[in-house]
Amino acid sequence: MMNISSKYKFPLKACSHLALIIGFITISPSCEETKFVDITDDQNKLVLNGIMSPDFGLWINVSQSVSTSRTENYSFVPVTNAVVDYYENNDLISSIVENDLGNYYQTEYKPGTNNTYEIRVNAPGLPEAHATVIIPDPVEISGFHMASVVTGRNNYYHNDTLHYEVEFFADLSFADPGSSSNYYMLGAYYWENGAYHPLEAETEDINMNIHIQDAIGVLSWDDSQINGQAYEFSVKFRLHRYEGFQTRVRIVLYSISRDYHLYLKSFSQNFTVLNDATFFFEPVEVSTNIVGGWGIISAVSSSTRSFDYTF
Amino acid sequence: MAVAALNSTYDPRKSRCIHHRRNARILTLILSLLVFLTHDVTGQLDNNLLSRKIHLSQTRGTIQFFLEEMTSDHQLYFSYDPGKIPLDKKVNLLLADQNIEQILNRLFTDTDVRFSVFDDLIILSRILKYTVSGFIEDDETGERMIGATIMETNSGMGTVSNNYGFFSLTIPEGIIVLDVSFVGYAIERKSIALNKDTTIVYKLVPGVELDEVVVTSGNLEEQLESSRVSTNRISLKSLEQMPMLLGEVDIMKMMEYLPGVQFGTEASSGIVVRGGNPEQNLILLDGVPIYNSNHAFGLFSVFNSDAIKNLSLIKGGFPARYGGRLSSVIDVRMKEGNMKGLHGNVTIGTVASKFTFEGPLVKERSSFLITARRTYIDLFTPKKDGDIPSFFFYDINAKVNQKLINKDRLFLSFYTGHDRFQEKETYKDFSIQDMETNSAEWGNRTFLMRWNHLFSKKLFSNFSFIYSKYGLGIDLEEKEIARYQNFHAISKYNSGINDISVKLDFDYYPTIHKIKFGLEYFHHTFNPGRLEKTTEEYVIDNGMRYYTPTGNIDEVSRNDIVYAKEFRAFLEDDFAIGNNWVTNIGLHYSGFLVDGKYYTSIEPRVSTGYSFSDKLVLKGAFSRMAQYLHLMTHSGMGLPTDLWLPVTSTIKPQFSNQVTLGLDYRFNDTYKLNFESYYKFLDQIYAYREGVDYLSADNSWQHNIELGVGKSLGMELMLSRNGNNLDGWITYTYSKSDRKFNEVNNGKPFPYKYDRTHQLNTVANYKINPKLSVSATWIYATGMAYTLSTQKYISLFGLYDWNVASGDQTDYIDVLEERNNARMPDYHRMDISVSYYKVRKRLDTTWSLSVYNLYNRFNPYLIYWDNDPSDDGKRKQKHVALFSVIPSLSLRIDF
Repeated sequence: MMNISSKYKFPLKACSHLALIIGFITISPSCEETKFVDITDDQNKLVLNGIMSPDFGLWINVSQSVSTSRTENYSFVPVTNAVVDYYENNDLISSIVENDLGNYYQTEYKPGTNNTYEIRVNAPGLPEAHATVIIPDPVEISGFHMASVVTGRNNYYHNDTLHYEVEFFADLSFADPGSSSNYYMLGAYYWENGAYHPLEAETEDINMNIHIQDAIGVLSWDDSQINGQAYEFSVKFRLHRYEGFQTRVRIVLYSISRDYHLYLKSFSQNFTVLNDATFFFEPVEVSTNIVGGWGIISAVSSSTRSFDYTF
Repeated sequence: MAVAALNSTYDPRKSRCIHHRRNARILTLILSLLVFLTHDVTGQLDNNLLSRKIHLSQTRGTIQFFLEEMTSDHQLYFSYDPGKIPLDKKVNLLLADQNIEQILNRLFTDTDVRFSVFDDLIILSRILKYTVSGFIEDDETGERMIGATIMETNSGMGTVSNNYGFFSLTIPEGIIVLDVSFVGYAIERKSIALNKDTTIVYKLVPGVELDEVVVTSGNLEEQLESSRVSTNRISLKSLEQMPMLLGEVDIMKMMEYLPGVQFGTEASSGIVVRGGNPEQNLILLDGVPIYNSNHAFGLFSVFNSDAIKNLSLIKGGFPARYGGRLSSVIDVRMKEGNMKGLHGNVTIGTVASKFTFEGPLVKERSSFLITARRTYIDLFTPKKDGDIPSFFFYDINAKVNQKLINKDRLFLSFYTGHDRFQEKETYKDFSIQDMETNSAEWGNRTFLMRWNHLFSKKLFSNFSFIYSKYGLGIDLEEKEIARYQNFHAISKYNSGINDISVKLDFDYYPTIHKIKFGLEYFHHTFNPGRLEKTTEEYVIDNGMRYYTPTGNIDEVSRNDIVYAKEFRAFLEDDFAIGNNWVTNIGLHYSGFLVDGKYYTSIEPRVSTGYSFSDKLVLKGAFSRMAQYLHLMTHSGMGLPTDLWLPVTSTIKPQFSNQVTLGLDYRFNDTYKLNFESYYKFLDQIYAYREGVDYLSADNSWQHNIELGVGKSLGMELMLSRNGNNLDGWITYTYSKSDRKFNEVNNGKPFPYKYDRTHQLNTVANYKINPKLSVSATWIYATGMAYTLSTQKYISLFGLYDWNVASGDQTDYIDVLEERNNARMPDYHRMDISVSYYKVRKRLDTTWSLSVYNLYNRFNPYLIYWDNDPSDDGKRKQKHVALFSVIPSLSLRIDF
């Protein structure tokens, strides 16, 4: 499906194609060499990745960074002996112990919106890392309309059962609070095998941050164009399942912290640069809200609509 | 011999004052006539009188004091007009005992008073000066010549023709000998009796291979332009001899071989001058700003070398007439067209061919020139369906030159350049037909009407009406036809800049001063990006169309069009102080009105040169420059998506201050050494905030910009040879350039991306015989700075897919703590070119064979980490080079 963000990627594609053309017409095309580089592993820091929300509580994963010259097989080093201190408005809520693979949970205590939370992590041999987050107020979905069509694409029979694709269209509206800067993310999920699974939502709405959608399949936007306004937008997503499959589809409008929005943007930029545009772009450092380390602790609140659908 | 004007003579002792003015005039006339007629006879008497040694009571005093003392104490009688002699001027004779001639010479140094002797009377009179002015033309084509040297050999006074071949020189009356010279042309010498203002048109004969002439021309120019600092001129001859890339000689690439000029990425036409960004170069084609100087994503510049007459690169010590960019001025002048006969050439190259035609419209009165060039890769790419991109560019230069009356000349010139890229992807199976077409078109278009008018022998004017446009359009179309559903979407994006400007400038030549002044007004229209999108999507059921909720959407989003007005005024004076000191002082004023905000800048400029001898000139300069236009670019090296935008109420103008010190030393007629050092400070330069996309169409661009500072310092050395069969140069540049932004690199300074600490260039042209010549260039440069990650960590999405449905993103994030913390391997490359000339009666042919990267040096263009997991333990780093050995062949036919 075409996406208008292609306008952004298009010239880059053109550039690489031009290089191919030039290579084609010369007797010696452009060439590549492989080098193996050892970068010493002596600047390791704590890496905190987590999500905090009033519905769920806190999940945080603690690992450590490694030399960039390591291959991916050796790159994830969980920290299992960290002390994770969890503060609300400077009051210690709890010190959390590890569950497994560097995962630390505090789901019994539900954080509230607009409070200041601090997560402070210490681990032997690594410098301390901490993050401060504020969960934004949820913004309610004020209008919601769903429609679906059978696309006719990729139809096939398996064990005499028809498998086909359905395209869902959702019109959503919400009122952006004008008093502050707000950041949003859209989630679309379907229920299967006892869990919700994400769906890739697409939009043609050019006020939303289509670049993030294009790079990592996440719709996230800020209110710079819609500040204080009631706003309506359309998204669509697809699901391919068999005839008779029953599911529940959830549409979630997340209000997210600015730090997380910047993380999404810079992550998508970093991803694009690495994958599409290595010829011309400055590399983009992925934004972090961890002081003394790296990673992101996102803060979200949400408003949800759902509906059932049977194939 | 001048006519002395005597209104009175003064003799306090003998009362020889003559007060009657009419009698005085008659006497003066008679005396002068006698002096003139009997010059040879009285020569001996002059010598006797003037060689007489006398003793004066003191060495310091006014001219009047010494005249009176010589009259009273040494019985010397003077005839002069007190109103025309600076009697109150204080002088220092240095010695009390001197002969009379020495004393008089000393008394009247730096005045226009001269003396002569008639009998025992010393006549003091003012020197009369007249203006000799005119134009310098090529004898074969009638083209007016820029930068030709005009030197009066007796007085040593001289000048250089301006951009329209005009010169004006005011010199003392008498028999004068004028030498006019230009590199590659025979020197033209004329002797004339100058007793009134005189106009001359010099016609220089080209193609005369007299090295002495060439060298002399260079020396004269050095003396006359010793105030010119940090300036390189490239001759057409040098350009034609340079090795080619893909069969094209490129003036922008040639500049990479000049000191202080560093290339960006390989094969890019963007250049970095003294650590400045590529967009800080003011690129002028016949005085018209060119906003995108690249074709083919930077592989070629927009300048067709066949249309170029003259090229100057100014890196520092900017004359006040230039403004609007911080780092350099690239002033390219087009040919005017042959006034005398129809000529042309056709060049067939590896990827492009071109032609030039020029000739008179009315012989000796008007001429035309047209050149055109087109690539033809697209003609040879298959046209079948599939993922096949095609690309071409063309450009056309045209110029008409019309002499109106003797004092007026009109030029009309036009340039258009167009790049087009198209890519078509199709997919078809039994259930679906998918077609996607992407195309992009971009290019410059300029129009210029220029009217030269000669108000007087000393005042030359130039009025220009200028239109310049750069635009980019991207069209994306996707069509999907399935059994039950159709989808069709078209997106159109466009951006660009339009300028309309008028300029009025003057060259004024009073006596020893060369004054330039003028005004310029721009009306800018910026289109920061407009996006139109039309979507049609529907489901077909029983032959009926049912539109989906997102079907039939027409949307338009745009950054608001920005209008801005820019005003410029300048005044500069180039003058000599004594025989050794030449100075150019100027002031450039600029104002920029946008969104009700008016920015102004007053930019002082001074450059000066002091000649210690005819071999050694010491130079220095200071320039302040302002820039109101910003280029939104991620690469900095000339992508079509680069976007020019103005200052706003939040984005302030950029400024630079540059100090230059240097010297020129001429060893002999063949070798010359130039050394310069500089320090440049850049203020309020900009960078993108990390992680932002400037190609959005939502008015947010100015919030994504970070302002910062930069500095650059370095030194440049150039040893050039201008010999009989071998000429060329060697340059070495040492440079350090960095940037500092609060929100980039944690606020710490970091090396500029295109900073290359050391760069060594060699250019050699060797003429084996009249039919065969060889050129070779070699370049060595420190590797470009790049950002190397040293640590990496797992991303949030690598742990938990959260709401990320697409699974192709990386799980790990490379830490980029220090911007540009590593260097690519050093860059070096040798190119050669062999040209074979065959001169026939009607057609001349030139075969040129060039080899780019002769010894196949692997110069990385790009370095990246490879995530291929096949090599356990170590991660691979990929180095990509753009070009290895590239031969190219071209045939040029001149008629």
